[in-house]
Amino acid sequence: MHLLLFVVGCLLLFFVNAQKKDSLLKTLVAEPEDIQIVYAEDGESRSTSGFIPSPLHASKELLYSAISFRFGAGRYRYRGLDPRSFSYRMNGIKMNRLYDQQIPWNDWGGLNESTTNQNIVAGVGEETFENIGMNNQVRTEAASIRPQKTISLVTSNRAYGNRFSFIMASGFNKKQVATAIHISARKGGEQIIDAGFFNSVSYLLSLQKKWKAIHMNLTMVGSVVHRNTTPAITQEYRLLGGRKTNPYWGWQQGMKRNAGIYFTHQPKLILSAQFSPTEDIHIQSAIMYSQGLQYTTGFDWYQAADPRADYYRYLPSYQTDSLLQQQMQQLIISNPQTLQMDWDRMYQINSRHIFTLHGVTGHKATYILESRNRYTKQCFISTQLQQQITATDSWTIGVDISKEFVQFNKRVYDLLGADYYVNWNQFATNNIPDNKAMQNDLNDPDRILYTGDIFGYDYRLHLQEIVGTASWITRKQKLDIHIGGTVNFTEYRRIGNMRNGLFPGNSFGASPPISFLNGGIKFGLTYKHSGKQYFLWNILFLSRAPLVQHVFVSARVNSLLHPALNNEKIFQLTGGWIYNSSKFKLRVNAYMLHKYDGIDLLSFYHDEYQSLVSYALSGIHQTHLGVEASLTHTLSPSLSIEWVALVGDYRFKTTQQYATYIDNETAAGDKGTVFIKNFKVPGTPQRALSVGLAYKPGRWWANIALNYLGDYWLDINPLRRTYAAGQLQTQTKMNWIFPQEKLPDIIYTDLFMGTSLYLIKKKKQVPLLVFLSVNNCFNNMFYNGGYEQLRLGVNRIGDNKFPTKYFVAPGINYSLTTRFNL
Amino acid sequence: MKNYWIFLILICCGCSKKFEPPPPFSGTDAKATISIKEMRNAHIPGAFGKWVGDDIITGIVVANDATNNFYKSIVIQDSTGGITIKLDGFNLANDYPLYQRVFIRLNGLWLSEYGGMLQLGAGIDTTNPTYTDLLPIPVPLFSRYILKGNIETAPIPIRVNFDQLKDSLQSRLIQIDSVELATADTAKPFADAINKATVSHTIRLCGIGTVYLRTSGFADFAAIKTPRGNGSIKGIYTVFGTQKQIQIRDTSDVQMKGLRCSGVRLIFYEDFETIPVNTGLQISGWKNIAENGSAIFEGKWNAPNRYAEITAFATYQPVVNSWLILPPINLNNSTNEQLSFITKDGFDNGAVLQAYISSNYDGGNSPSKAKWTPLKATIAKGSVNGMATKWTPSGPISLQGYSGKIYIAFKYEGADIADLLLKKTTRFQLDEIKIVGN
Repeated sequence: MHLLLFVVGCLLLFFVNAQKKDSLLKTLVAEPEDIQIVYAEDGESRSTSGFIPSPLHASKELLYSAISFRFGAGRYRYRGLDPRSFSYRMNGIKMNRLYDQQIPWNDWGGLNESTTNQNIVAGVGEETFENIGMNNQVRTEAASIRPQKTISLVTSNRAYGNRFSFIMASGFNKKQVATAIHISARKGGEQIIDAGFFNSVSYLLSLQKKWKAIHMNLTMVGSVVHRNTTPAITQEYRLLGGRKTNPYWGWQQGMKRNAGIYFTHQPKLILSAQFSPTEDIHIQSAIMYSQGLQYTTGFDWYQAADPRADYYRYLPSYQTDSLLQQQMQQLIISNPQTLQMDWDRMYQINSRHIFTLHGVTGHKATYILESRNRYTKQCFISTQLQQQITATDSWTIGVDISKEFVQFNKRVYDLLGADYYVNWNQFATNNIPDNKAMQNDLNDPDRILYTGDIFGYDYRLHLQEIVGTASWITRKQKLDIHIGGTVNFTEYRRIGNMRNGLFPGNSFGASPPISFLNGGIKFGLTYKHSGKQYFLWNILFLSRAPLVQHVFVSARVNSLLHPALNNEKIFQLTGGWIYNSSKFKLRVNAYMLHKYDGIDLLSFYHDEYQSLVSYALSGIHQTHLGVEASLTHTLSPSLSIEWVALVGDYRFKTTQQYATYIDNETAAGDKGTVFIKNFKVPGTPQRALSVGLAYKPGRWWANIALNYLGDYWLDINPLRRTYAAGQLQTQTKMNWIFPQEKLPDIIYTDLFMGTSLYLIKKKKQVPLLVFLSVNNCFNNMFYNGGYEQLRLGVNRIGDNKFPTKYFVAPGINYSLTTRFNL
Repeated sequence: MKNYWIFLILICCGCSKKFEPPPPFSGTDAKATISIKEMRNAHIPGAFGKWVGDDIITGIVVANDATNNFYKSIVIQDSTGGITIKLDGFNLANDYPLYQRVFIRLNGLWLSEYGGMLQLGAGIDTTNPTYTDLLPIPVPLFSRYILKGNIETAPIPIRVNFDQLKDSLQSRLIQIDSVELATADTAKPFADAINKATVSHTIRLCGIGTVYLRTSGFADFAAIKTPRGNGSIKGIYTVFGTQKQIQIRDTSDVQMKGLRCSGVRLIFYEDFETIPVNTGLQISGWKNIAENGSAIFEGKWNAPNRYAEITAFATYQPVVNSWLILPPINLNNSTNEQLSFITKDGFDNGAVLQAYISSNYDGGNSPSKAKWTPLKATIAKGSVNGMATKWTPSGPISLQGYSGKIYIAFKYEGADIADLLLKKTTRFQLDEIKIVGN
């Protein structure tokens, strides 16, 4: 049996290679470019945060499946909405973290087979009041998973390389008990990035019991992920380092050591119940407890040079002299290690200084690896009641009560050969003559740190949210009318565990709670012209509380609040037309969304202040206009053409206000106006087109799609659009100097094909599914994201000292799935 | 099926890789081909010269940016000369700590003077045609040009006089003795730490000769005050144009605590010439206390000189502790104070005379209650048979570090018992007690 699998795999691989050669010929002019896969890593950068991985088996509708499947590689975001506009419910519980309102996809990554049973609602919905983006609703109750015993094997050249999955679901037995077990393991190496690694084990266990009118279910789900981080890099570094380059590794005793490690494990326990006391009433209730840790590692150093190999001063472009530039380029060619970390040097320096502090004598570390940790505890409760009042009318009410405690701190991860480190803030040493300012924690000054000790900052956020929704729908013969409302109470509080030397007054202890009360109403009509034709119309008013990550401007060191704690207001108007015939399936939507009073917070390292600096932005007013259309044209029972067009225009409609907060200074920073009126909203392509062929002659199927994404603007550095920045220039018109940067248009072709077979094993038929997906078939090079660096050098605004950083999309990549039922 | 479980277990084990720490640094086996002096001599003054040829010099680091007084540079020297190397980085002291041996591959580096000071760099900056300058070596090229050896012991600085300062000493660790800062430059900050401005203070040898103590405003010690006294200074010899300069690594390079050449004032003096002889000393303001036993300091006369004397002889007491305490002395109106006196011993068998200083003595009859710090004075001893023929000068004893009202005391400790081994009855004579200052 293994042999057969192998043969099938080889045949398919051959096919891929043939495709690749073909594509090489076609793209000789544009050389096949570097490959780098990019993950939505929590907190990695502003750009990645918006990336939503493809939910498998999205809604059956072409329009929405295209957004997930076809445009995901270009990081298309539905209607340009921010990540908090998307929700995910598992067994009825909303999974979005309160901290950033994002969906923690990593927490159940790798469990593709058991999380396929999902329903997607695009927009606020009709029968319920959902989030304004896409709403995934997945059921992992034991009996919701199709009874099976399935093994899946995936081979790919993607970051997670190979996947093994075993799923066993029983369905209800005679005792009305159902069980489901799903175990999945993923392992990857350097396919995508040098010194890359990916190790993950995921699990899902479900137990369900059915009584007459009640279903009770207990699910435990989690995923341990241990893998490399993926840094964004500048174009210069990519061209120097070539394919798969990664600045954060170096040789150590013959092994490739990667400084960037990402770890997460956030298991969840969900107890859910569904209850139908009468035919017309359906109640579902769930409670979730979750506890876990996520960290990434990086360097900290004290009175030493930046150890990162891609630090701008270490690259040839920093040299003003062309001869020296050449020398450095030659050195990099003759010794590519110049572009990598020098672990030996750090160990050497760390083992040199013997230093005595508070009676402890030893090698004081100059460089260390630190972990930046986030510990999360969540208790979420959700209840929903649905009642069919009359034959035409029904209503739904729901309540979500969520409590979340998040702790953020740093720990010493590796002393790199030294004996200890000290809890000092090197950037604060110059500010105040006595050494109180340099103490990260006045409650325990000059603390000697060993591996695993907490240092730098340590604080908790206590968050809670109570959401109530109510919706009512009436379905007339030709007309559906739906109306709904929502109320949202949010409360945030920061609790500092350290008394920072620079902010002794407001760093330690609990801050007063900050609360927000918000609400929304919606109203919609569906005119049913015929079974073939529908017209839809919706209007929505909504207000949303600011995210806690924007509320505390320097949460690491104090509890200062954003100067404009406004609730943001949203007004949305949508219209739609659906036409279905035997030959054509058409869907057209138009939308208009206004967002007022938005706030944001950007944190970054500022060269001039030598400190982490936060820019508190306020007065963000956005307008999103657009049209979406999809058309399925059935040419024959086995062949159809699929067209998708999404065209939008998302803009900032006003200038914004900024205020600066400096982590290492007690003095207030500057304030002013950011001149970005009419700039495009960054972070997503605003235009997406796709044409695909679906062919299904019988036992097998194939799907090929040509995709185009454009009008994709980069994240803006607001600093470059301030009056102060303008003053440093000789010219007067800032927009001429700092136009917004647009990414080059993106074009790629994806192929999906598969077949189902039967294997004969001991005279027993074993169904087998083989499924191949090839993305970016013609190996086109494109960036699928990027950002203007937030830092500026002194008086060097116009030059390329801090050039734009990009995420490089993977080139041709495949995954081959073989799935057989035992 | 079994294979897959093994696969799973392997995945879990593969998660935590352990990395062996690298072995301790073992240096390099590079060898110098020429000396620093030979390299310096090969340079044509005033020119920008690119070194061609695979020559290597070696030296040990005698200055770096550890205290930020040297900016983006290190200074190395061998036994023949020194050279300043421009490096385009900060915190260079981590890579090139003091007394680290380094080997410089000269091929491709440039030599040029900056204000007369010869330096090594990686290129020339011609962006301003009227003012070309050496470019520092970029960080990634450090390892290409500089090889590291081991850390060695500190070299002994070359002791020089003002008239010996010449260009061949550039970038070398030198020491000049018996010098002082010009009066206007004493007790001033080493540099302007507020405006981050460099300051040059004048150093002179009793008003003769000049060398400038040059300190960067970025130096960690810029705000510390310069010393007022006279003494020695060591540092790196540099020049700027015709100006001769010395640049220190840290304030410990400046040891100037002695009495300045001019403006000497007498603060206290006692030669006992007016005292009555052969009786206990009784001078107004002084204390003459026999704390244990009955010996006290007495006035004596040996024509034509009068002096103070004490001995435990013939007291027949097992413990003899006696104090002679000078009147309180105010040090607030003077600097660089120095105490001196002379002593003579006789029939020395082990009794002790010691000079002390105290800031908290109450002037009463129990001096032991106060905290007394012994002073480093030379006291006469070893005259076993009869009195010494010559007075022993105590040498200048710096009172730096003391201010306000202080007391100076002489304490005699002896014993007059039958056991010859324990008998301590040495006779001490004391005269010419003097405190001077600026």
